[in-house]
Amino acid sequence: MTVAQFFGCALIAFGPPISMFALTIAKDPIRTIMLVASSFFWLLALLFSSILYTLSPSYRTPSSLELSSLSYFRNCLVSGLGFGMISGAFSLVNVLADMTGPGTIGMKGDPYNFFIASAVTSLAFIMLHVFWGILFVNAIHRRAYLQLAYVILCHMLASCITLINPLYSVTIPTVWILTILSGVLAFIVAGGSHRTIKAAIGGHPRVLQVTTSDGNTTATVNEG
Amino acid sequence: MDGHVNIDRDDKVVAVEDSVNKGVKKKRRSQNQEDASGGQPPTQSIQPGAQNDGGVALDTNAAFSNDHVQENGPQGVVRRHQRGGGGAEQEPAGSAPPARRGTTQETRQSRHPPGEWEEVEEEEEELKYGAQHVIKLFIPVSLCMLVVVATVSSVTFYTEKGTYLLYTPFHEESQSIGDKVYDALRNALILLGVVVALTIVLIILYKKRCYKIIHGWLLMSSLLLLFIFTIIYMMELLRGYNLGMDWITVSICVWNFGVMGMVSIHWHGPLRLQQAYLIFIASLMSLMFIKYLPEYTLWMVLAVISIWDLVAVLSPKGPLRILVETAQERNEPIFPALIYSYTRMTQMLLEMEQWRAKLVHREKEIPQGGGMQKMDMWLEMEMLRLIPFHKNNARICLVNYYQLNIQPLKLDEITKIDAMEKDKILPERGVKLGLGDFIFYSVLVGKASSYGDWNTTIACFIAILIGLCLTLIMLAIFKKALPALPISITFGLIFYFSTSLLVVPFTEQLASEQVYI
Amino acid sequence: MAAVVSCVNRLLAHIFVLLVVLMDVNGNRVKHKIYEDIQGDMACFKRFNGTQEIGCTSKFSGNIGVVHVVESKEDLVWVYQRGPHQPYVLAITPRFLTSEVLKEAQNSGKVSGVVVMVEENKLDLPGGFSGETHCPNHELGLYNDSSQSEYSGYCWKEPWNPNGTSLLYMSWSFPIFLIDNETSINNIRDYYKTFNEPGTDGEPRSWPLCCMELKSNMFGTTNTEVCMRRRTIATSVFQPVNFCDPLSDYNIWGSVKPMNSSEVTPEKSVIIVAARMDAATMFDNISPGANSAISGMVTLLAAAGALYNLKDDIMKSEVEKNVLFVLYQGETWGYIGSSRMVWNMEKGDFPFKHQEDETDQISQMNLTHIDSFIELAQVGQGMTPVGSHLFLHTDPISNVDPEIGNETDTLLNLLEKYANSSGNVKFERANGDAPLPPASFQSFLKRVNISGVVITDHRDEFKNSYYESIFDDYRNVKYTSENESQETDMYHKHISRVAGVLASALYTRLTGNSKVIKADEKLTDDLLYCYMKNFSCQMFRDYGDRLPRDLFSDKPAKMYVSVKGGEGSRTTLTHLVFAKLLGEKVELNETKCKTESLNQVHQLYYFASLNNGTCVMSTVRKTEAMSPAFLIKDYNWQSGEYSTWTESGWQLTKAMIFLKPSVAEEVGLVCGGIASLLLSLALVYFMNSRADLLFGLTTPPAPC
Repeated sequence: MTVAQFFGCALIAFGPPISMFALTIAKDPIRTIMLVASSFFWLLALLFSSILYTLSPSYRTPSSLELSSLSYFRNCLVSGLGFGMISGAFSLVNVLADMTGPGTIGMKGDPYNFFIASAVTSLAFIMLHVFWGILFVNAIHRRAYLQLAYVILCHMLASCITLINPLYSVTIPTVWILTILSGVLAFIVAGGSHRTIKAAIGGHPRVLQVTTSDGNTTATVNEG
Repeated sequence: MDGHVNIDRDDKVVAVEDSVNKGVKKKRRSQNQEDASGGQPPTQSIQPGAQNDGGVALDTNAAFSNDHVQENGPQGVVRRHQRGGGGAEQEPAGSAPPARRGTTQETRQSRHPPGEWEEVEEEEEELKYGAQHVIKLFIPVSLCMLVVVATVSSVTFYTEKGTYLLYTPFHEESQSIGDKVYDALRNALILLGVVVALTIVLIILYKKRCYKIIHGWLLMSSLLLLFIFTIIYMMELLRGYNLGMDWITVSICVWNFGVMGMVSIHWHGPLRLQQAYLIFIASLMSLMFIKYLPEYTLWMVLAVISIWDLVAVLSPKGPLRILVETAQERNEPIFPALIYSYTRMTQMLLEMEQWRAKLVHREKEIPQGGGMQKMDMWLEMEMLRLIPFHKNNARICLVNYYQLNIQPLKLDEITKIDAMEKDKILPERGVKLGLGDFIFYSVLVGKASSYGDWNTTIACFIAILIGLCLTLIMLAIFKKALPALPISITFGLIFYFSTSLLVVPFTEQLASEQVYI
Repeated sequence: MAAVVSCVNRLLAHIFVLLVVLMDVNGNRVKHKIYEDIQGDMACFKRFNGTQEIGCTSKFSGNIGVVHVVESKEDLVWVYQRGPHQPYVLAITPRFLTSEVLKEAQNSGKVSGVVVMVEENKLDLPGGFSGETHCPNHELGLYNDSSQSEYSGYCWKEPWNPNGTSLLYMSWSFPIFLIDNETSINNIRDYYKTFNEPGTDGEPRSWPLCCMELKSNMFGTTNTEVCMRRRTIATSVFQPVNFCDPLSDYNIWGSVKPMNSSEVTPEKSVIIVAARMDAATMFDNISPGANSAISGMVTLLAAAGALYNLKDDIMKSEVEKNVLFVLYQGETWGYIGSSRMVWNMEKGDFPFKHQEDETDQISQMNLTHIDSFIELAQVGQGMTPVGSHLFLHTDPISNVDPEIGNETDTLLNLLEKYANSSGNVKFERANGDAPLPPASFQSFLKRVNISGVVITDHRDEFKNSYYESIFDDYRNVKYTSENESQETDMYHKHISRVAGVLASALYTRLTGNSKVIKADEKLTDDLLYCYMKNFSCQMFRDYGDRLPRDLFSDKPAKMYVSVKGGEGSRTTLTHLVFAKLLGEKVELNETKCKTESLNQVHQLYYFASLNNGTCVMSTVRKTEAMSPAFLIKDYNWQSGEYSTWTESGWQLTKAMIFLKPSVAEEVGLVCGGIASLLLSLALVYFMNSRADLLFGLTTPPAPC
């Protein structure tokens, strides 16, 4: 009964994006709309590239939605997540639907771990899109051309390496290394460092000292 | 996102994110210069989310170091450099004076041009509020589509062809595509004629105030939907899963379901229940359309109905426009059975009452002396919660790194805020969407999913949501009744045909070769 | 700047997608990599009668089992004793299609389906196999147990069908599919060898294993009474579901001389010449019936054609006798066609209820008008090295009456005379003390005593070792078309000979004159080819130009009686062929060549492809052949008076083969997914709540 495979692969590939959506985005309506909008633009890009795939050598235009705001990293995350989720959906949903029948792949010579590989690679690409979103926009904003080049090259490399699927021993590690690399870069660009991680894990206790005067209350926070 | 203000120290540009409009509004603004004296809270609530440049950790943040705090110069965490004052871009006309800030406002007038922060705030408020409207409509539309897609995928009854309606006499049985398109066109025009005729009859009855007849008609149609179509749905669902159920259970269930539906739609009932029933009957209607309309006819009908919607709502003689205007003139709500609204007057007022009560309670909670324990917990909670949160119930300012000044707003200030907000931000007490819109959106997505390809379904779903979003933006701009079908259906149709013809072979090939782009 | 960026991206994506385009393009879904379709149109399906249900059904969602190819008895033993991966789907050769094997499979509980692989060139035929009982149609025949005649126990002592296994009348709890498509069979064998075949020491293989899914869920259940009752309830609500359908088709018949209602038909003036035209097997879409049905039918058609050529002589004669040629349908299932005709004749509305105001009407016929009855039962296997040798059976009960006995004797003498004069046909009388073999004549004898004879190729038990089974095809009757073989004596010649003898005998009865008539050999050959080898032959295409093309397949004709609205192409074509044989050409163009009323004496048929359009006027018509049980109000389904057979309705029959993973792998995948979800939830929650610390995002509020 490979409804089990369906749930397994769906959760592997879409679990992290869904948790990101649920915890970060779902509360805020504007972010949700941004998510849908970035999915829409990815679809437009895909549509253009398919038109040209059908007619002639094609090109793809990723959207260069310029965002900048006080918390634009969070918004980059949102748009990256939008791109990522829709690209993951488009690459995996039909495969998931085919998985729900009673059979699994492999009878006609395909590798048995086709499904897991697809799910894991989809997850990697979703995360890659998120990180690229952050890096890309930041790069454009700060005119950091090196970052820009990195994003483009990374994208090219990741996509090209999947061309040699099903040689999973090469493609999946490569893609994941790229994901982790991009993730670390995005983290740094967004303002993190090993010190912030320490601080976050540490969780300094705060002591409040309260003084009242004239109906105004003053609270004092001590970092212990 | 909250309407945050982001100050970029390189560009000295302050940009306000306007996500709903997907544009960027930039404003040059001067910084408000506050002195660091305590007891003088700034005009606005906190602006969290200010960006530090990359790589700077919190504890090295200059603003937090003690040195800065002692200086009495203009400072604040939000900026690193002194900025020249003045030269502010004029705020757009019509921004309300910050009267709601209370007495403390006047002292600050001299220090900074009034209204800029407020105006940004208000825009942010509107954006956030507008975005909430959009989400509150996304959810029921998505639910309706979900029900239709789930039914179409699991029960084959609704995709079996064979029986057709009287309204579509041409059954597209010939082999050539040209003939089929011609048949479809004729069918669509016949259906359109029926719709137009019925709409005109409805308008005439409404104008002549024959409310009883209209109510009777609506009652009959909801009766039909809630009983007969529900029975068919239930039977087909049971048959599709090969479950048996005796007639007694079925009759009891359907009877209760139907009566409850009639009551909650046409009379009083909990809001959520009414919404659920409206969603359900919209899905039933969509399923009926998907089953009984031949292939090409369905697409043609969608196109024709959107054009009709455009004409009927926008043109001066359009029947739907006449209906809405007449309803507005007479100050009556439009019939509940035809409209989905996510809020109700009483509900909103009730919510505001509760909100007010909460604030009052909080104010009373603050111990005025002693009781440190309780104060600790409360303050810690408040700080942790309020700092990243923008809410009009307290003014919080930073005395220094260790000291936070929390001043809860007084009751009358809150009342004033409420009143202002009510007028400014709640002009219409909620956006309403017609049930026909739900039906046709779901028909499009349901039909797309009936071919078994999920990429097409997702693409149509996103297209419709974006179209709805754009329609609501236009609604906010033009502030009058707009047709909800054209944009969404256009996007939906474009995406359906392009995805199924062009994208699907591409992505199928990619997926089967496991190539990712 | 955005433009620059997008240009750069475009360029790079351009390069990339060029690479993509270089891959070979054939859009296919992952589904095609997983499943392979197996031929699934020949499934065993359920039938019901008044008291029982027979046949097979699968579960609603289909039966899944691990494929195991059975080549020898040891394979079966392996499945029952060692096979750890139950349930299994057994892929057997026809040799194992026995009730023992199937019963064992059912009782073991380890088998969820059976697939019978019939390969064209490796025909692994058992010695003799028939799905029918030892005494076909015993319960509804003349000598059934309730008739309490001395002959009711005869069949059990000397069964007509000794090869009968009764497999057709058993009820199975799993689906049984027949596969004759070579690709499907090769697929099954290859995948079995790759994935499932146990090691040389019988060691079972491990997952993933190759499995098959057989879907043939039947809607009906229990028996005819129950499912007809459900059917009447269901039709009253919105979407009717056919739980079961009564077996129903059409009898095709025509008379040599037109029977006009304005003339009085004298008593005992009509000679009925009958043959059955239906056969059945356990499986859907395959029912060759070469000897059980086609042999008699084609003989009758050839005789009718030959006789009709002399119609002018016959019309001129003063003898007031007529011949009615009838092809009965549904005879396999309790004499449906013949019992219906008898019932109609008794009620007085055969062929139609008399309309008062119409002049041109066919006359009513009832049982008193019948002079004698000649039936052609299985005549195909009467070929001998010297010619044809057939047997004449008579009913002992009715022949006790001397008058009837004399008439029968006369008839037999006539037939023997013409057989002898033909030179190579021998008609021999069977045992006068033995009852009739299964024949439509029995339906008539239940109601009226008439003289008659049943012509068969067997004296005692059937010569047909594959009576009513999938093997009763052209090979069984040793048919080779004239184009194909150079043997001197061939099957079609045998059939023509018999037809000629029959026609001569009938001519004598009709005119009183002697004449040796020869049947058209070419016509016989064409008809045999069309029915037994290729249904979409030229002749049928020409005759059936009005039928939709997809009804023609180049396989043998399916002789199953079907249900109303079911496979009607064979009936229609036989009707058209018969009409042409027993009709004369008239000069009418296409628009005028239309019959106005079914009650008319003559019917008009237009053949567009024959000689650029021919209009034929004929007495041939068809009347409904559905058991009277479904027409009698409040019929007692257990009474056993008329046939109560119905066929279950179903949505589709389908089979496919695929690979199934082990349970451990599935569980692992689900756990992995849940772990991924929980981990990511925890991580994101952590990052979210400490976002201010991690990224330095939050600003404390502005100073006071």
